[in-house]
Amino acid sequence: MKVAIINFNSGNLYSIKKSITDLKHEAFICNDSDDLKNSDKIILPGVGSFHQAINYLSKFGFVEALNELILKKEVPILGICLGMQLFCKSSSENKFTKGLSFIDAEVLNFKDIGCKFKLPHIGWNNINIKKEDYIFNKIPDHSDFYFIHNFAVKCNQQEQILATTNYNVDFVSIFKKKNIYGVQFHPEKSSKSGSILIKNFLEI
Amino acid sequence: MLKARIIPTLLRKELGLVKGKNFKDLRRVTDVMPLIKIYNARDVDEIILLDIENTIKSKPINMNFISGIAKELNVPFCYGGGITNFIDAKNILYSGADKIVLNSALYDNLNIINEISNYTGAQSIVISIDVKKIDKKYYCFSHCGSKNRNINLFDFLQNLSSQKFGEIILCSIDKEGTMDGYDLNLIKEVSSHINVPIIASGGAGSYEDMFKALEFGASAVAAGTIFHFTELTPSGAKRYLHKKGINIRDGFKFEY
Repeated sequence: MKVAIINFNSGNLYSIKKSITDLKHEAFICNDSDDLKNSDKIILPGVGSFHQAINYLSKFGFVEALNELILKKEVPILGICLGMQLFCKSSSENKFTKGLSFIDAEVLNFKDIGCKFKLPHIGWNNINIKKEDYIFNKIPDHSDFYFIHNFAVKCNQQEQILATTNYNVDFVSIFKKKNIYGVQFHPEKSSKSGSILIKNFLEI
Repeated sequence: MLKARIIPTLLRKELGLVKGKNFKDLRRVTDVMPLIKIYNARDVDEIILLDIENTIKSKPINMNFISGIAKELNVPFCYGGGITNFIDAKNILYSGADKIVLNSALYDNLNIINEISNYTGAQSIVISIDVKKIDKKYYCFSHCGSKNRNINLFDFLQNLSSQKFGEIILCSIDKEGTMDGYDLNLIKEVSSHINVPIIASGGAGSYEDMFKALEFGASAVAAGTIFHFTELTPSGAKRYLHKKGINIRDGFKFEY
């Protein structure tokens, strides 16, 4: 199996690649949207700002390529952190920005959903499973994952929420719609639980 | 529920890891890689590695060294030492670090924080502040505690309010390496003053010290000497803190 990791030109793609090669699968950093076609699975990572990321994706043809591969050909995709947020309809980060709109959800600042705790939300926090899915294979409910973010996803379709996490307020930590998975935490930095989650995604 | 993090801090100088007292009298601990591998195998919450030689001698940052460490780690990796510009920061993140630590460079150009965070996002930036108490007031020091910047800590925090970053490593030079407890007053004052997570650093000598630091407002505790030179370990700290009612990450349990 070949896994494409979309290169945003921002931050650490290295650990995602490593987490896949550790599982004995092939992964490549995808700089050109044409190369996405050659992959069996796609990972949309994300460090940086929503606005910049969307601009980058559209400028380099990734938006069209993703629409074709994800929505029509139903290639499995995993969005990590900002990557998850980009699947949503919009984000209020910096200024209102439209997302890829694969998922009926909005991205909001923690403060705007009533969080009074210190921000960013940094560190290990547990998921609360809301809906069974293969992604949880061998992952017990309430397992800890590593989070680092200021913005959180609010899903409009309850059935797309696989897990939530609490940081003063509940927010969506994993969502799924058909072949599209999004996780707010960083599985590539989440030690064993993260590695199993990536393994599960690769087996889907 | 968010868990309190227990973070081993590693100081690198020349070819190995070192540890001192009050930022002086450095002792060699071990080579870097074996300890990194052990901490990863023991599934620590996070690792902070500070290359103190880069800062003092203004040496170029060794990206191969950083990527070599990143290759070994499945937990978050925070790197600091000698970062003076956006290019350094970008290359370090590309080399596989998850967060970069800024300290000495801030006193010449505070805006370096926003220059980097506009590109990487605020969460990738950790601000490290080393302070010493002089006449009952806290002053900021740079270059591994060797330069007094003559700025009051709270004035400095005020200046930081225009910058976007993720968290603060707050280190008491007076306490560092002494193992007689964190400066709890310092932790309390800063954590109630500022709305980002604080990593307490400097002075841990027992698990109880860590408990107190968390009680006084720290979101995470960093420690060096206690883990290098005593039989105490991050997982021992977690067992202790758990008994005292602190939420910690209790390693992953497979379900079969």
